[in-house]
Amino acid sequence: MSHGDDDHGTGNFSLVGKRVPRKEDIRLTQGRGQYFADLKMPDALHIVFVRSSRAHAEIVSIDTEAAKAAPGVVAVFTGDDIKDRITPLPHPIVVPNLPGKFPKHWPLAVGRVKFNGEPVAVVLATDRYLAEDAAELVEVEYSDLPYVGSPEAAMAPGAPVIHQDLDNNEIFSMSFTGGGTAEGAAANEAEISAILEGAPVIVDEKFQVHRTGITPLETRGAAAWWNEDDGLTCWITTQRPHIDRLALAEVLGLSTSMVRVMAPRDQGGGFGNKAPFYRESILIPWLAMTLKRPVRWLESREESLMVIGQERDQRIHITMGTTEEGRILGMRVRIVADNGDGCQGVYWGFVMPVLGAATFCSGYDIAKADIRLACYVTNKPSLAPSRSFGSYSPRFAMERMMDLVAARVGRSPLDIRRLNLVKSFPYTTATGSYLDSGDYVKCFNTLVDTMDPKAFRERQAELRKQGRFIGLGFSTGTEISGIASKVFVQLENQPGYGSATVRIDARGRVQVLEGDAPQGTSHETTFSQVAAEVLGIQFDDVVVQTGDTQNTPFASGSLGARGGSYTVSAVYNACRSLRFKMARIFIHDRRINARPEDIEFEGGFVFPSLDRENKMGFAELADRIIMKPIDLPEGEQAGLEATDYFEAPTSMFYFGAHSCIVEVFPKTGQFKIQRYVTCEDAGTVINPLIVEGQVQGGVIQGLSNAMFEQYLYDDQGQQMTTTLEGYRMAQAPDMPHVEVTHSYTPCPGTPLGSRGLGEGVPGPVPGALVNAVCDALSPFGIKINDLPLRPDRIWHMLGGPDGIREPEGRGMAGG
Amino acid sequence: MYPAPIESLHGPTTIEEALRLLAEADKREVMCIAGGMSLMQAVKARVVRPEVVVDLNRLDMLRGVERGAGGIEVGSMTCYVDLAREPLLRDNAFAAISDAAARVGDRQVRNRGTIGGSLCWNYVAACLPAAALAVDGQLELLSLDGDGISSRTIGIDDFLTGPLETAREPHELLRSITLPDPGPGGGSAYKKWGPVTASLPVVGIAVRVIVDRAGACREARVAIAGLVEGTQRLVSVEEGLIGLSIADAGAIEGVFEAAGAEAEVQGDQWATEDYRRLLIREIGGEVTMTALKRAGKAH
Amino acid sequence: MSIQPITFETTVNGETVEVTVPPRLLLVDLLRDRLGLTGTHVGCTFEAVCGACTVHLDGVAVKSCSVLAAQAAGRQVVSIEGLASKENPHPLQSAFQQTHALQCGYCTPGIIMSMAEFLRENPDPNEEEIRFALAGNICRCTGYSHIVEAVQIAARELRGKTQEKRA
Repeated sequence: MSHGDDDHGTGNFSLVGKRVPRKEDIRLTQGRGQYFADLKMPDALHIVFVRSSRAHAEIVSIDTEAAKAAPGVVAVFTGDDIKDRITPLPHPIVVPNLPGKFPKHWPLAVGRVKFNGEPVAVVLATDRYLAEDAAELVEVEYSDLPYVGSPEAAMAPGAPVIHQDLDNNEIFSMSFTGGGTAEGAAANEAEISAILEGAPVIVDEKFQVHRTGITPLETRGAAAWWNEDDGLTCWITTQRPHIDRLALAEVLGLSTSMVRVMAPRDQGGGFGNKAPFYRESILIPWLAMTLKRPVRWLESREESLMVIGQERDQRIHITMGTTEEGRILGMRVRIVADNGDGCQGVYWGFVMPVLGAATFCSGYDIAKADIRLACYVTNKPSLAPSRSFGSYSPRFAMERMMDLVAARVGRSPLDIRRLNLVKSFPYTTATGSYLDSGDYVKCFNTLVDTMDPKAFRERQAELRKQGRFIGLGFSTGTEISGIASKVFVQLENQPGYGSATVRIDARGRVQVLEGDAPQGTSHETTFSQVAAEVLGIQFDDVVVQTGDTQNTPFASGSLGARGGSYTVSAVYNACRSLRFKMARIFIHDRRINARPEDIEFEGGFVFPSLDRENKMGFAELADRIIMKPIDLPEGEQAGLEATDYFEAPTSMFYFGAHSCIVEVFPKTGQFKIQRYVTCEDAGTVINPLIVEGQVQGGVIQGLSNAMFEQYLYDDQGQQMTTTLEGYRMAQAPDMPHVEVTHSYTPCPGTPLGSRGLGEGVPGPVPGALVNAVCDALSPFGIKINDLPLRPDRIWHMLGGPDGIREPEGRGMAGG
Repeated sequence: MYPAPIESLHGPTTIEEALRLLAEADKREVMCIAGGMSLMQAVKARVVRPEVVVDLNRLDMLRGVERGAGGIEVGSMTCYVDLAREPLLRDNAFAAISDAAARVGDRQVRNRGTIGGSLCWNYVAACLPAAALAVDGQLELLSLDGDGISSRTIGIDDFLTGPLETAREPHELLRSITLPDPGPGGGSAYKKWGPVTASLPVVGIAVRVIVDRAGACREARVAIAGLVEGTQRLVSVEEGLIGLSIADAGAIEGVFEAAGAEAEVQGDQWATEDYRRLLIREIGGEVTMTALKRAGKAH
Repeated sequence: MSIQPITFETTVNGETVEVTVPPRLLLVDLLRDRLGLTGTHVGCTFEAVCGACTVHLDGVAVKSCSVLAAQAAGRQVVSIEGLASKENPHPLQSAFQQTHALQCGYCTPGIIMSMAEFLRENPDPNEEEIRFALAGNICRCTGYSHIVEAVQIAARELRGKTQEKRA
């Protein structure tokens, strides 16, 4: 560790920077979590959806008579019942400022179904079991239409157009380097073509990432009730209650003052999947208003696997021109994404690929690039946000590309990365992404030192003599750390600031109110650490409340690693402004000659740093300001409440490097990860325990996506992975331990110097893994550019049934 | 997600009570629940809709493993976890059973699932039916007739009739599985491969060999789980193993490879057809070596 | 079909209750909906893979989503709420907090219940054994490393307690 790195900028703090155990854990380990399904709603009607058994069909008829007559059933609705009573999406509030298309859709299918699993009817009954019984009795007659199952099928001439309000199946198409005009794009394309033509070395590769994502362990849920006076109250498993509230008010034609949305205090993971404004988010509140009864929907795992959790699914073609030494001169990228039906408020399937394309260059200095993305509608559910939002496929492609360039020019993959990583900050990428700060090379080299490639190569050579094949792979990745309004307003029509209200009460206890809703992201603990640190009080005297639109400041949602960058900064700033107010009043009361900065807040007391005995209890001072507001200084009001809206001056990125050692068994194509190490530069680390957990979890998710998880459809569009038996999430015996190391550069844009971390962790994972496997198998001369990575595929590449080819005696180009 | 309506659920405490309930099977859809690890999945998916459920978990007399005259007697309601820990089934001619039981699913499944339940369900990709085939299990089935409780014994070969099908009549109760002692020189083993630890086997192979004093195989029973047609014996392998010993790893693999080339396999997301054939060779070779080692110690 | 509801007694977290249920009611729903013990969670449909519903039935860790409620008649059920007390948490509960072995917490009760039983059987497990024992539970958030550490710490503490008892 180099000098100054040990405390990562938190040396002066007593709580911030420490491995503080979480306060959430007491109730969560003792079974007192309050997840959506735990909320007691004894009078609520239970909702079960009838979902389309077809991938693409006209709805000929729906017979609900038997269902309506079934025991316990109160109502059954179909698309026809609601289409004149609910305005369809798109609505401006959930439409991004992007040149895409936004297919009209209602919460239930109207006229046609467009994927296996689309909701077709809804049954409400007094009991969940009875609702399921009744749902079975709904009879739907379909007339099948041809299944469009891939972007290739969607773009083929004469392909059935899935959305009748669109001209074709192309839902989004744009150049990210052409300056936003057709002329600009043409000029950009010509310029890059010329560079590539003149480049000494050309590497041209195609990559494919399958349909997979980060589905959470807790499925979705929504509940609502309505009364004349208070209007609509909703519980939704959402990452963004305030956005849901605005959207519901708009879609349902209500005044916002008549809509309250609450996210349950505890959520079982979201990873992006609880961020969209879904069909169900609209329908459940409408049902409550229409039936004037409380209603409740709990998503089953089967529904979840059929409708959400699907992301990635891109084909990426990269043509890169480099010098003989491997320095990148220019790059052309063509990305095609399988969008699914795109009927999903806020994201429409393509916002994720858009962000991925916008950050395609990752941490590499590639001044000249021509990057285009096209997304196609298919008969599948829409792509939904998944951690490593849009960047999983691009990072895989770029990190494989760096190793392939290295192999072509005969240099080590380490040198190629060092040569091409951005070295001078701030830096604006070819797509206009602003990389604000960091030291990417230092972070990468720190990881390389940890892995000791020289020793590895010796061990690798020894083992090869014994007929064993181990490999070492590296990867890197940048990821957005919070999202500046400048970007977010364009991308999602929403502001990017982090916000928090801090309230100190007359007994010196502190309440932090956050509009976003965490789902395991430790906000309660990190915000308590910050508040307790700034105000000098006990960690346990801070209470954090989240996700209720009635009493929290507006916030755009728990996503994009905003918590650790933006929201925590708002907490910090609000606490500091209250601290300074208390200090000013203390100075005035005690007639001290000091500035507010000279007043210490420590151990529950307030005192001048130069006169520690002249102290007052923090609680006593708070009581004085709130309950006894007599003789306050000129210009000061009573009360101790502050709301801060934090916006970083520029967008911020964080950087991570990953490395993996595997052993591959060519006889069977099976492989075992022997070691996995990351190096993260998240700036000031508020709680290293939590950061470690975020990184370990993200890596395992990335590995699980790469190795096991895949959403599969047959040639009729039937979803074949609707159980956790078919869609396998990685479990402990099949996963490695993940070692987390750090490299530290302060983040200049946030008051604590912290960067948000977590969003991007899965991104570099497949690159590190596949680079390691290819390194292990380099004597066999194979190249793996497609995911998932499975033993049978490796075995087939090595020769499979025709016999495993003989390894050649080629050496690795060191490093 | 939730079972279809069930009319009644009974928890008999005697065999006779259980058989009386099962005797209703000609009039109603009667199903037994043992561990429920397979059945409840089907019930909750509404793939099966029992009207009467007979919970066998109070029939403690059906649990346990003991040495009897005919071999090792395994009560039908013995859980996987107990089979895995059972010394009578360790490292010997019956070890295929404990090998299989030790790795079915996960520990919660092994705590509850039973050998009887697995054999009566006979799922296409299940471990115990293959292990039972290899060790030539003899199944005792009870039923009620005019004179009281009657019993019949049926060999495992005849019991497993096809995927999810067995020779058990709906009114019959499986009481025990007797593992006949093959005499000196017997050893068995089971191994499977799946994409992850807890998954169902893509291919599972069980082998029992009887070796002569020189360690050469003179008799073999080989069973495979994961074929399209369900768990079955690999007769060509059984014949091909005769005369081979631990020194013949290559030849053993060759026998399995030949069988694999003929086997009816279906590819899926976890393994292509060819890869399944490879697994047959690899697993078959490994499992046979283990069985031979165990057999060699058994003289 | 005429459903025959079943009335029976069962002991849940040390307290014996009498309930009347339809035969098809699942044990997990008895716990969550009838008895208000919502610490046990549901994470899959019927495939019984996720393990979030794990409880002890007569001392043995089972997936309560795959047991019919009436099968618990006359038996002892222990759910996460009954594993220990708030004043005296189980070493696993303290260890999980110490090592940050949970993030969203949804899988946690099921894992703790499974591991509590596991440690009774195997008081001194190594990492490989712990990971193998965790195969019945999915965790989406932590990546498992911190969970393994927590189980090791709890195992040490339990071994210490056992030695104390013996002394």
